[in-house]
Amino acid sequence: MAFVFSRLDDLATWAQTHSLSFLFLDLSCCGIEMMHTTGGRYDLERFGAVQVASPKQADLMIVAGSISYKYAETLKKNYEQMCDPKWVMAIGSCAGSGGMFEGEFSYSTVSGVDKILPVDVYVPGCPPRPEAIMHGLLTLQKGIVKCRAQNSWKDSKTSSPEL
Amino acid sequence: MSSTEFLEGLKNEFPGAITKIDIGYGQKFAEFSSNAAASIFNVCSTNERGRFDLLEDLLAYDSGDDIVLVYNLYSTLLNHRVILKTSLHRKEPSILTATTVWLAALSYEKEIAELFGVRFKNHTTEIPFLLPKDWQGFPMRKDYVYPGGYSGIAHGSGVERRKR
Amino acid sequence: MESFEINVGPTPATTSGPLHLRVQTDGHRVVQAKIEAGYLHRGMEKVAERMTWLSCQPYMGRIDYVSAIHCEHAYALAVEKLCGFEIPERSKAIRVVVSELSRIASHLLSIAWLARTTNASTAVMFALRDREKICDLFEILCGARLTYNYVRIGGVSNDFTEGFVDKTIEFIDYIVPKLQEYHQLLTNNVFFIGRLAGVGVVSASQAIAAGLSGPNLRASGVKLDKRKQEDYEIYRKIDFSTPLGATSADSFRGAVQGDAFNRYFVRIQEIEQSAVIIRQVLANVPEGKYALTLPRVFKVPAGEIYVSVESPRGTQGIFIRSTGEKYPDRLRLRTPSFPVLNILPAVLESSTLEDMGPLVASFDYLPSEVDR
Repeated sequence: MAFVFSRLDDLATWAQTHSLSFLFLDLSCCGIEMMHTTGGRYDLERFGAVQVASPKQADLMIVAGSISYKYAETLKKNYEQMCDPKWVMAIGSCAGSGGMFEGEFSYSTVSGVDKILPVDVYVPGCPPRPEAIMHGLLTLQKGIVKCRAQNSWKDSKTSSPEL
Repeated sequence: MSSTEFLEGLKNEFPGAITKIDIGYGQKFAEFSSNAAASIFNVCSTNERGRFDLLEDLLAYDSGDDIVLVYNLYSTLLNHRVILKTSLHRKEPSILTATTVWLAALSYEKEIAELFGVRFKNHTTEIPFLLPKDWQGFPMRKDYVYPGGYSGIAHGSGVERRKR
Repeated sequence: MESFEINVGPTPATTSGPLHLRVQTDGHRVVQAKIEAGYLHRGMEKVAERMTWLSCQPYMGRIDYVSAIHCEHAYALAVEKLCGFEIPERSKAIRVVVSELSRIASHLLSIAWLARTTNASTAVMFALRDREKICDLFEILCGARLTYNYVRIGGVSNDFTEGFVDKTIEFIDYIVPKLQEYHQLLTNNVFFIGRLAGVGVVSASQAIAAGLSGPNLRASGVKLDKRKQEDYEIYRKIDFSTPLGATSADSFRGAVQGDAFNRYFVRIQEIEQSAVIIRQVLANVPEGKYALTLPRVFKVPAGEIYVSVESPRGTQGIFIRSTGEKYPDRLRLRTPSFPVLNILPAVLESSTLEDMGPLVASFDYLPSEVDR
């Protein structure tokens, strides 16, 4: 019986990691690289990641670009509208740590998305290559598998993977 | 060199208002006093030697003592350019709006009002433009102090940077 | 029917960047439109006051990241003019080639966005496919796909690398016939024309009054191109034409000058003209150095200057004020999408809800340029 349930659990994990619908916030230069990643050459959809328009339909939020203080409230609202389990991927240096606008350089930029939201994967680069973004997605998928395996006996939410 | 002729004509017409004419790097600058703004804008756009119908840029800079506004005017019909400058007093900078003459001034003036604190008389827009609604201070002035944070988010990541 | 307020954005929907539109609608007609910008305000102009003249260069590419060369170009030209530098002929030719390649890349992306908002998804994929080829070319040249930091003060950062010229000519030979696919999918497509023709008309006088420039202005019939007016680089020696908006007499039923369809049509014709320019320049690139040698920390003499170049969206201008120090006193970016804010509410208010997306995309509105 336990064998059947663990196989079913593996099936559910496989289904979850290979069908991540992402809410794509293309705020800045990294957003253009993300567009290229979803384009024909570096096709992100073959990993099951599909772009959706609304946060209510998304599992993953991909933040690509610099966050300004004015946008921070909207970002938080988008995150809160997503249903559990949800993950956040920060692409680029601006989303990761503020990048070239960090701290004293710019008066109106938040120094990294992690000041507002819990981030699961950081993809460094300015902007990162599409291959790097794909690597970020695959890392997240592996992390979800690991996290589900560890937490499978709990029924709390399966977010924040241990990577 | 019709824009030079235009500037000379302008100086003759408004002797008190035009204070300086400069030609450097091939660009023609003229300084005017902000009280005569209404008449100078009208003349720039209607005068047959000027016919400046395109306001290409309106910017401001903080020269330490004053806030200086720079109007970059271009004529599509006569293919020449002139740059007009005016100094506004730092304590309460205000000048008449140029939107009645050039609609393009609308967005430029909104930005300058927000970032430098210049008041444009008869300019009618309320939406805060580039900064959040409750932002304190005028960021582009030289004496602006960087904020410690905004609405609970701390500014910076705690790394010490070399001072300018 | 009662009027209903709808929020479009700030999460990016029709543009590659956050834009907040608050529209009051009556049924599906837009009654009032308010635009709120500033969601990507990074304070570029204040950043520049902290940086040395050479350190400002990477920031220039992040303002207009879709065609990063042009802002870098304008900055380099402004500083060179203020310092009185005369750059070698070879670097002028190199700058023209990369500018035009960047222009093609930007127009392809704007066509992709317009096609995305009108649901012509095949054209989106095709435009991204062709834009990838240009990213490859830039990668061979300077190592970066998107934000190049290639045009520097005094010239360019490195000479043509091995294989760049041949691959560029190969790309030009590929893209010009490939434009027939776009004409088949979009330009001669009765649905696309029906969607955009006669929508969002901006007359020539309205466009000039609002401060528009570039393809937006040329679609309204005003023949103004900085490459022909201002004397910069070697554009005066090159033979190319500036396309204007077509009228319905030219087989596009319902299209009038200044509408959304013409703003698209001018861009796709400009891709051909850029190909013409690149071919002419690469046919005889002068020999010589690719850049001047500058001191590591150099000071610009005191003065003020305004320089503008023709970016794919319009006039990209830079105003520099120097007080003789090693930091700029004031760096002002006059971006081409900024004046679009003056005219966008009026254009949206005479349209319908389903036309809002294509209208904003037809102006090639880039929020990062507006907010800087």
